[in-house]
Amino acid sequence: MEQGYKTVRTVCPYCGAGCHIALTVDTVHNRIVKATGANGRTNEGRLCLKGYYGWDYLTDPQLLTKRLRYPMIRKGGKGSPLERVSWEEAIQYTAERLQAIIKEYGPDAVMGAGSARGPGNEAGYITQKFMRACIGTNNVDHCARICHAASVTGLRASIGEGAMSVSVPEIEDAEVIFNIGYNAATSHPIVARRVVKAKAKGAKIICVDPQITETARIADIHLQIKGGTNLALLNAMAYTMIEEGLVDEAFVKAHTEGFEDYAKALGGYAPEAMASIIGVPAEMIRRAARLFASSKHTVTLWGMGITQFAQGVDSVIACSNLSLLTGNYGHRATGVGPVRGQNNVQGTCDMGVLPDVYPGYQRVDDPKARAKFEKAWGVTLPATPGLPLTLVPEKILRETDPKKQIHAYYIVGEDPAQSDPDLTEIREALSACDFVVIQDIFMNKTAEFADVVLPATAWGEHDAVYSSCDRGFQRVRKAIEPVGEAWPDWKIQCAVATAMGYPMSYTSTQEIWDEMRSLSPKFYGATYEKMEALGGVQWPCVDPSMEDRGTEYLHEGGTFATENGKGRLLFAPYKPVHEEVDSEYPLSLCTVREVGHYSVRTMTGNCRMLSKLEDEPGWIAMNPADCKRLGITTGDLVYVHSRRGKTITRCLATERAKEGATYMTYQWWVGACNELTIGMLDPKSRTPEYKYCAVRVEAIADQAAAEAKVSEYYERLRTRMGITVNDKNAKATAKTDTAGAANGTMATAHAKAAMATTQAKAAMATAVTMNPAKEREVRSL
Amino acid sequence: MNYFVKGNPMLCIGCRTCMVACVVAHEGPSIFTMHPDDADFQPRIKVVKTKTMTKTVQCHQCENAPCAAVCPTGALYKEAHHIAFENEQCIGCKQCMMACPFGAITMAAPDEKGRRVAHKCDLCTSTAEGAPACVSHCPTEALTFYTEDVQQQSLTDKQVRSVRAASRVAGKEGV
Repeated sequence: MEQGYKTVRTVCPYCGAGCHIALTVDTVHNRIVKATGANGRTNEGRLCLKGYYGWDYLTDPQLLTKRLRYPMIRKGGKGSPLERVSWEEAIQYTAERLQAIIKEYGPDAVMGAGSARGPGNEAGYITQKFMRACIGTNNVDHCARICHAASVTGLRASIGEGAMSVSVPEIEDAEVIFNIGYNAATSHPIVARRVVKAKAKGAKIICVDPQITETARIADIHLQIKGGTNLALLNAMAYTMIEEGLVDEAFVKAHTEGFEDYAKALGGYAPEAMASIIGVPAEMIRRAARLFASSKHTVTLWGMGITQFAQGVDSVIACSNLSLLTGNYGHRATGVGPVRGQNNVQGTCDMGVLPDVYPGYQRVDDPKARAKFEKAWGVTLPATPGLPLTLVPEKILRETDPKKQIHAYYIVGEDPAQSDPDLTEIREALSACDFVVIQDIFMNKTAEFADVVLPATAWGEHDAVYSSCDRGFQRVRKAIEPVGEAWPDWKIQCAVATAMGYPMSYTSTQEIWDEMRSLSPKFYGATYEKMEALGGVQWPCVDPSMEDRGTEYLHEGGTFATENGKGRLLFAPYKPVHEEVDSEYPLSLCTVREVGHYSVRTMTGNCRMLSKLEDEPGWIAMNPADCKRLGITTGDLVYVHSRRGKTITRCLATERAKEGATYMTYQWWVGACNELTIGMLDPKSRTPEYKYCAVRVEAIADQAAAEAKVSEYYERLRTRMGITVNDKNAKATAKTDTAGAANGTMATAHAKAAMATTQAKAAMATAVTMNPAKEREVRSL
Repeated sequence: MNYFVKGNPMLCIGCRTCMVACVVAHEGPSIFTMHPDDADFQPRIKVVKTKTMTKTVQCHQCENAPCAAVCPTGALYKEAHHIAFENEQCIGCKQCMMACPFGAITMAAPDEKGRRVAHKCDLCTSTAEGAPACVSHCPTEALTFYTEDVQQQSLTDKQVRSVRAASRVAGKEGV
């Protein structure tokens, strides 16, 4: 290697696929210059565009927002500007404010949100320890609540363990893939690689999705259901299996319970009875059920298309039921894969950054588990589960008893003012909360409401362990020195805890990891040394000796993780979505994602190449027939309205969207679809119904003016994020190409884009600072 | 015979990693340190999606290349293994763009002097990669670089397959 350069092997910070990356680091300039794929268990040397080109945000190019470099406090209270302070002052101030709130209202007035992204498992462990042992509450949660919480809750009820039972490499050895509500091509390209490989090796694919995804396109059976009818379909498939004698009776008898009641309850779910609700012919449903049951190597994969519904938990259980009925559990290349979205959302669950469990999924209401943690941490711990984060707005805005309200919100590496449903309500809640702490790598929308802003180190600037989507603990390594005065997340929370009179101090992430392992039997065997030697360790791994190499697939031999070892067949009736379309809001909206962007876009939005590929304000994908009715074509700016808000985006006419259905990616800040989504929650997992709400699309006559407004709004956002905007780096939002757009009417789009770029640039307004409270007015642009 | 890059729609997931890889290969590593607005983003490969197809479109390096045939200045010409392009010779007449039946030739954005020239795949011969970056970076291995050897191997495989199929028809499978 050339002098001044080194190679650092680590794990990609995007998505749960857990790809190994080799980074070339210029040590003189303290920056990454190249990423190549390393031979990891899941990625076999391959990466997607985010892995290859998603690291230059570290050097702070300030495309969307700006790195946080030093601690800041709103010294003059709410609404005053953030002022730079020393770490000492920031820590002291935070500690005192939290103590005052605890003194007045009790520890349950404090809510903590952990990060499922860069910080890693050690930081996650510290977050929940800080909340439980120092603050004294179980009010700790993280973004799994808005994505896969339903999978954890549902699978724990069904088979006792909430994670993927199958591993990523096994997918390519499946004989049948049942892919429901999951678009691997945009969420996890490296998992999609296994799906297309399986197909090439002869696997049959059943794809359930209202839109034509890449998986649907190559599927043997594509059930293009009406959005929100998952449970009707899953029950109809189970009905078919039972009626047509496709059930593995020996497996059901030996390894499950509840079959009689379950079969009886399914009585009304004949495909013929459900076909009109689901929107696909009964015979197709029967064919899918037959194909599913035809193999003992049927792998079920699902994503947000199952969980982000008010019936998310019930649908997860219904997916698991199909595997239980057909004996598709307990051996290689079978079982279920709720494929985790963010790089460490599995890990953040593993670490107990959840209101009901300690690290290793040990329940807070289990006296034995609690006693163990009380002894280890030297405190008395609360016995009742805490608050899920989706209930925070309600606890701030609608709880009338001040003692039961949330008065402090400590948020690590999340941006609820971008990611959560019904953003108007979120902004109201954050404004009304007495004390908000943001600990992040970037200035973000939530930080605008924060009283304290604490700069943390990013992926690439610290050591950690991430858990891949298939339970794989893997080492993440520091490549460069941190920017400014940033501290690792765990160090910050240890300092706050110490200032609050609960000393927490560690010298390395390994020290934290070893404490966590000692308290978590499922993870006890996964030492740093073992991860180093094997490249990663899949839990459960109970013995530190090298004999125990971890667990590729769960429930060996059909012995489930439930108390009696049996899988439970649980029935739930189908219920329609909460907000159906009507004459006023005649189109359904489903939120999806953009392959080159990630989460709330603070990272990828600041990567040069990824931003060049796709930028604000994003797209609304709709069927050409709906576009025709509205008189709009690909590239047009349009308003999208729902009962909760309004946003602006660009029309993408595509036959991949069903008539009446629309799709928007949730990463965009200008075209923020969560202005529209509904805060309707699954009663069991408290996961929002992102995947279905009613909207209306409005054509805009004066496109030039709309383009100028979009550009102006983008610049204002950037200014609010602390970027000094001048002519040089004013961003043109107009699309110059619709290359990735499905079936785009290219010529029109080109013409419009050319015109828009010119006008947008001409109209580039001088940046104006804006009070976040006025966000709502600006929204009505 | 010319070498070429071709995508397999059964393996393509439409992620467009190839498009970024193309840009990065041609612009070089400085693209990650330069001012973000100075970086050109002009991929020479494009992912196109229709209702049921997702596939890349790029230069086929045709043997009887219509682009080279219609080029009035000789800016497009046959090299050892591909259709090469000489920037200085190009007058920006767009004949090649019109002649290419695949839409694989586009016009580049104006350079510093305001010149606009044709823009096409050079199989990364001009880059430090040396071989097509789109192929080496594809997450699903959906793209293949058909060198002489690979073309020959592909033909041989198909020939053997067709003979096997014939023996099945004749009821002599396994003989």
